[in-house]
Amino acid sequence: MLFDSLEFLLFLPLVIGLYYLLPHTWRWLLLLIASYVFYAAWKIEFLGLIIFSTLVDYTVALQIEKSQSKVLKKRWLSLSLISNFGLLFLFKYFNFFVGSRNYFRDFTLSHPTLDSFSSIFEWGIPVGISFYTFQTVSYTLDVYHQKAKAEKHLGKFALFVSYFPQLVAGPIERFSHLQPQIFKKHPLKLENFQKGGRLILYGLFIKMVIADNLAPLVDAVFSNPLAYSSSDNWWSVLFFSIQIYADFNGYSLIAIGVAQLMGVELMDNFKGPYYSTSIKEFWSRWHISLSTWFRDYLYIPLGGNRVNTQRWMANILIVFILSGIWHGANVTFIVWGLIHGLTQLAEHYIKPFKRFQNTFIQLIRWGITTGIIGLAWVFFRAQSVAEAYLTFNQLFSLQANSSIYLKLNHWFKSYPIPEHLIQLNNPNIKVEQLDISFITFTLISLAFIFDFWLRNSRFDTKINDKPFWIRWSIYGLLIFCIMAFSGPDFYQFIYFQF
Amino acid sequence: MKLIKYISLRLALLFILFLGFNAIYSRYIFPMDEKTNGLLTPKLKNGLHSSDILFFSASPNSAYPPSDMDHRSMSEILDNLLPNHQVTSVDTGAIHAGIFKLLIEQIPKENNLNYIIVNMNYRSFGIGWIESNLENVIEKQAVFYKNRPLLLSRFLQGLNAYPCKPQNEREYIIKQHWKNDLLPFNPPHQFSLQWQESMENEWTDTNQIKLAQYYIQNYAFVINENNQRVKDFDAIVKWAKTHQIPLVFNILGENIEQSKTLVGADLVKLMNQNKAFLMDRYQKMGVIMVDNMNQIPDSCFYERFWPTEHYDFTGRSIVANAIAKEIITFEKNQ
Repeated sequence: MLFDSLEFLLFLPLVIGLYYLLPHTWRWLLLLIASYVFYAAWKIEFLGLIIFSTLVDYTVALQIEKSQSKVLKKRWLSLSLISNFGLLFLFKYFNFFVGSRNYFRDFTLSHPTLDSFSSIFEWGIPVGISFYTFQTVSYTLDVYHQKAKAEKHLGKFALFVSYFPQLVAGPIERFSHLQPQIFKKHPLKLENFQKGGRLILYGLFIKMVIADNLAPLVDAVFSNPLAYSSSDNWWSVLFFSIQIYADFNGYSLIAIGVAQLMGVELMDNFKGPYYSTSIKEFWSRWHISLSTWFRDYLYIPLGGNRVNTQRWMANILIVFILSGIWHGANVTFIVWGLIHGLTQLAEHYIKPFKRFQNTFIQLIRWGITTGIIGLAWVFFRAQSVAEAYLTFNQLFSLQANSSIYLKLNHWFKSYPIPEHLIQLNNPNIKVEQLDISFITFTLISLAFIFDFWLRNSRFDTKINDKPFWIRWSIYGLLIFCIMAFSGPDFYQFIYFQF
Repeated sequence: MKLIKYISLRLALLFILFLGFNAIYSRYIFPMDEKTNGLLTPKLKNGLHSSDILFFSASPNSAYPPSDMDHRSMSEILDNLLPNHQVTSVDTGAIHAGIFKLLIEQIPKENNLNYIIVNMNYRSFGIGWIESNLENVIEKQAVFYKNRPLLLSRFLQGLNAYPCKPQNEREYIIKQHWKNDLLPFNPPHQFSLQWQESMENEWTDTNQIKLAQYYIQNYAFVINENNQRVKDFDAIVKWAKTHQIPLVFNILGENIEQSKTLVGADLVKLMNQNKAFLMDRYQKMGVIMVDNMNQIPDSCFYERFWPTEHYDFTGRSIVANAIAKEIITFEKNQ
């Protein structure tokens, strides 16, 4: 079930209504059932994976706590890590590391009895598997490091793993932050409804109106960069930068808003990332729950910055490469992570920029940072390195070379080459024009105004001190935009695949 | 109590806002959406205003090859053949009975219609069309073919509250049907996928293999009452009966000659069995059935690389004549 779907708009009031009607003792059960229904609405088969992860981590955490010997604790921890990351590998990365799906098809042709087994992998990637895997792993690690106590109640632990507001797209929460809040007795409070409602409204606006209207424009150019002019390719890079931010931030705000309706405060996932003046700052404002996860569970255990320079540089690159791989099984994500990692290292060594803090220098730093982030998005969005190569050629009005393209395609096991892309630089290739309507342009401008207004705070707090008529004028504008201008095409939430 | 009052007031305010927004949307924005969505409602309104026969079709009605001297559509030829009637088409590419049903349900009780003609495209009963990638777009447009405030329809479009699926999911469903749906033949014609694979032994030319496989993909299936299209056509019959408007289902001609040459007699046999099922089912329901399945010669099909019902002028004339003949016979018998 997606947040921006009719099913969810019917599901949510029902769950919230029942939540406040039920006595506190039974609320966890309602939320657990609701969470499973929420997930099963997408594909019931994959609910088994969540239940499996829950059972493994529930048992492992209790055993870690019970074990006296450190060796035994480590063994239990290893079991959790292997099972969680094993499932993630099997469903998300198997084809990437082993080869194409054809490998599996060939295999099953000679082993027909395994046909049903292999067909599981054709169902696609289980929604949110990277999110809930990271959440449960953080729990086990916290118990191992005695930062959290193991949950004794299986049902309550199951709810922590599957809590529907943040199940499929985060924010990736820590047990010590989420668990006490979910099980606290929350009385019916107007303030929670106001805050939650506002966040849901603004989240829907940027997801449905901004991201979903940009999706077809971005798709058109990225699926065939050669057919569009250099300026259209630049537009598509800019639009994708906005789309991915609006898509993910919008979805995160809805998640935070939904939890807020039940009195639970999830962590913020975005804090004006495009106002960053360095890559380091960008990662403290973008997908915060993931970057802090990597900081706490990978970067610091690797030694962080308390090691020699070479080791520190390696640590930074490891974190960024793994962060790239987290997003998907494709070399493009590794390149994307590498660009961010290398830029962060470069920033560290460009001292002169650090000394000056005046507005002009800040503006230059902002421009460079935004440019690098935008160009790195090309790898994030492209289906393959070879396709990214085509986009870069178009962006800088260069002639793409067929042999380089084919080599890249071959080296990185790309998708089958679309026929129209084989004929590089064919003068007869039909040139398309990106059709940016006046309405789309106006909506993007509106989004810019809102984003600038909210650069240092969240919509729910920013609007709180405004008079009634201003608040309701803004609500009215957002509601009208959502109802009349939402992107009508079927596009799944980008982070759904992660 | 305070909370209930607070919420009630705001809900009332939201309702008032909705009414105002709906008026603004309907007046200023919907005409643009109507154009960009390529909605058929203007054609339907125009037809209801000017004609007594509405002709519902996908692209076969008006598609023509560049070589055609006469570009008249099936409905225009039919209009010429029936001087006592005015025929108007309600058509656009790739739609099917599921959409015709919604459009027909839009027809008001008070109307001047003497007949409703619906093109029955054999391929549209196959899983390849039912789960086609175009279906998301078609269903997106269809959101507007319901009687409710326009702004609400637009909102439902934004929520993707229409049958939409990711492309890979549709491809998976299609493949599963091809793999598992039993056909009334012995191996290697027992399942569509098996049959498709067997074409690799029948032909050496890869283009021929591909084309033969397209024919199997599009024509090899068994139609029964659980088929989605059958349910759609049933709903159209139900509506027409309630409104007492004579209904004509026109089974479009398929390229039987090519089917036989490329794939074999089994495929043609299956197609005719399915046609017989449709003829029998809807004749029993009182529908005027027009059977063009085997009537169009290969030379009339101008798309050569995949099966379609796109004909040249001769082909379109054959179909229009067959419909006119059935209507004239029906009127004589009245």
